[in-house]
Amino acid sequence: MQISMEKCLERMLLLGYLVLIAGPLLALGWVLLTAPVTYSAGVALPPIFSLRKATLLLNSLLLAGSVAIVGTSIALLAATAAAAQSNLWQRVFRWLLIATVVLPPYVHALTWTTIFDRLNAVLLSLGLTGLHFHGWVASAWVQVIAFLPLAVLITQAGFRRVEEQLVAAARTQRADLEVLWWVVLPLAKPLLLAGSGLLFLLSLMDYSIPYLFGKNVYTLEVFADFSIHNQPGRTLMVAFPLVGMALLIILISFAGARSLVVPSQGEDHLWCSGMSLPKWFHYLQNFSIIFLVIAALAPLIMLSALVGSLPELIASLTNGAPETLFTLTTSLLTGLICLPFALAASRVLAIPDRRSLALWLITLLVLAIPPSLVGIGQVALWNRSLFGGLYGSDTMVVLTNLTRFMPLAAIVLTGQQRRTDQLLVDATRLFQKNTAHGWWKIRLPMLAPGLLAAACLVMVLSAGELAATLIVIPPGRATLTLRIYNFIHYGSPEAVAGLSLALVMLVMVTSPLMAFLLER
Amino acid sequence: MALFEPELLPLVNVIDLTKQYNGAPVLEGVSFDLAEHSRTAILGPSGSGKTTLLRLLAGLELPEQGEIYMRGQVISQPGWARPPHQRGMGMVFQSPALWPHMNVAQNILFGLGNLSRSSARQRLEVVLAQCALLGLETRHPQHLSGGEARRVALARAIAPQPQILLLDEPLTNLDPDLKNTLLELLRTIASDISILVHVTHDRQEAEFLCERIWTICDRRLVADATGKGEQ
Repeated sequence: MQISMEKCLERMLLLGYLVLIAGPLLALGWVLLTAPVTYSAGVALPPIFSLRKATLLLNSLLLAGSVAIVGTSIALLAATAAAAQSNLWQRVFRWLLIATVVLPPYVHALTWTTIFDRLNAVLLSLGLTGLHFHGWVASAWVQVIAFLPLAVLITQAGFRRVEEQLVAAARTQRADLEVLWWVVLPLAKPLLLAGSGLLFLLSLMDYSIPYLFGKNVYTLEVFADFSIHNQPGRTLMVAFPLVGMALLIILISFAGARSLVVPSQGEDHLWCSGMSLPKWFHYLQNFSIIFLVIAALAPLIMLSALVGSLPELIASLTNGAPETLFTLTTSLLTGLICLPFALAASRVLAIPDRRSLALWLITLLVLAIPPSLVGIGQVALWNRSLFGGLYGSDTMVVLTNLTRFMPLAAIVLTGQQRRTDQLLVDATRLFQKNTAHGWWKIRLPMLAPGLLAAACLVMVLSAGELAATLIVIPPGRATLTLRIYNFIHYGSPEAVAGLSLALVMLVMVTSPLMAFLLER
Repeated sequence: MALFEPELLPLVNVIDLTKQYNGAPVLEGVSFDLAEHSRTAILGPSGSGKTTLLRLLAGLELPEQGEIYMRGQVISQPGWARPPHQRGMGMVFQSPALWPHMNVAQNILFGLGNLSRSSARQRLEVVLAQCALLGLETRHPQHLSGGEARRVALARAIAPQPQILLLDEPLTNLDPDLKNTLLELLRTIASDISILVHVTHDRQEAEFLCERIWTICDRRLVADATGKGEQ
């Protein structure tokens, strides 16, 4: 049987996708099978059972659940409010979202810690008691603010899939708020659930923010276990409960996304024009918009105040230049390299058959792996003589980011594949000079919005990656994230404010361009 | 704002209605009346503004200029419109536009929210029988044939017993046999409706269903050349 060049290339890329995302996990499994796990003297149970770990897991799940519920609720209100505005207003709103989605959570942590410090100074000078910004509430607050822009963008994508006629038909029969509840939300549900699941996952897998606010979560336990025992197999066992819970949530929240076939309208929220909603709902919408604006502008204002003067800003930028360059290079490379692999995977994921189901499960499983474990898996996979000097090189950072975020790129591209009109693909195959010509002239331009969105998402998440990078980064190297996090952790906010401010300003300036490109 | 004595008036008055999209006029200075027990067809080529006119009547769009009155009460004017569900109008769209997450019964029951549970069920049974849908209650739209989906769309529109039924080319892309069957069904159903406005570009369909035909020409509504449009 003759296989076309296109099919051959697609299969190779698919194999590459599987190796890159599942390879580290398989390597860990191999280590577990071949190297026996040792326990402390007199301990008979595997390291996954203890009351302390159960409490940690419960706390982690509660935090992630709260962040997902609050974040999704505010995102829903903000997205419905934005949908009813003029085109210009919507553009400004999108710019604001894209500008803030790129900011790593710890920049928000620094911002809000500073805000509360200043506020407390004022309160104390007035003879009042200061506010306690610490612990779970502070962690949830910062995580909601950090992940909210992403949630709003996903909610807007969900709303874009709501067909105007379906809403118009409902509006002739019921009040607009009921239409929103009974028709719009169920129609947008697959993406809303996926967005909520993503928020849950981002919170569950992040130990940096709770740790900054004095709380331990299960992902930190995974990292700590490896640091103490240096046994990848044992760490894998420790991570099992977390992986299990995360996988369960992912399977529930992403189940609808798999069967998502409703095409995009291509225009923003036609369904909501002229909707009249009750006043109390408008108040909630206004609150959500104010919340988003404060979340976006607070880092800019507070970091500017922290930096103090221009020479100090220049000094911190100069000091952080190598890390900035390293971060930009690795995240850009990750964003670009992931595209062909994710595209090949998305072509399988978009077809509802058994092969696709298996690939969906693998893709979702990788999302459920704690970042520290991904890092440990990278070491287990690539630290072999077969791969020469790969281990210990800068490439490890790119490989790690690919494992962590390429599944998300594949999911984004799957949505784009489903929106592609099959008749256009058939017409291309009929009239193209050769396969490359058809791809270059027709199919890639059709996929361009999805490719750009996937690349941007991966770049943004890669630039902010911390927990896995910490394990694989070569000696003497640091990403901007690592540097900022270390400064915050060791209590030197002024030193990090310049770098963070530079990051914020860079994002604010480039985000209109990104918003424009995404609109195209 | 009561402008006239209600009992002396046609049910609906449309006065000098103008609608634009992105600055381009679609309808200009459209005026007409809809009397009780009238069947009106609106003809016109694609893009002439027929659907826009129906959407304005339904309250799904706001006019840039002009007003729509119902029993002497203004229901649409620039910047304000009475919500669509408070106008007593049912609408059937070009596509069946059935909500995919609801089954046939749920699609029909959606508009019966202000009835008690038992009354709503009774009305559902009546409408299902009227539209030959008995036995399909639990099916979801994706498991219906084209003809069944159109009948469900019609059943959903008439279930709340609207005074005015707006039909936006509900028979497009159907084979001739199915189209004839549905036309017969529409004519039967239309006898229970006070006002029927049927938008189409099929003259035969318009003549079969309506006693009055208007045409949209150069963004304005004109009486049909056959004389059927004379008021």
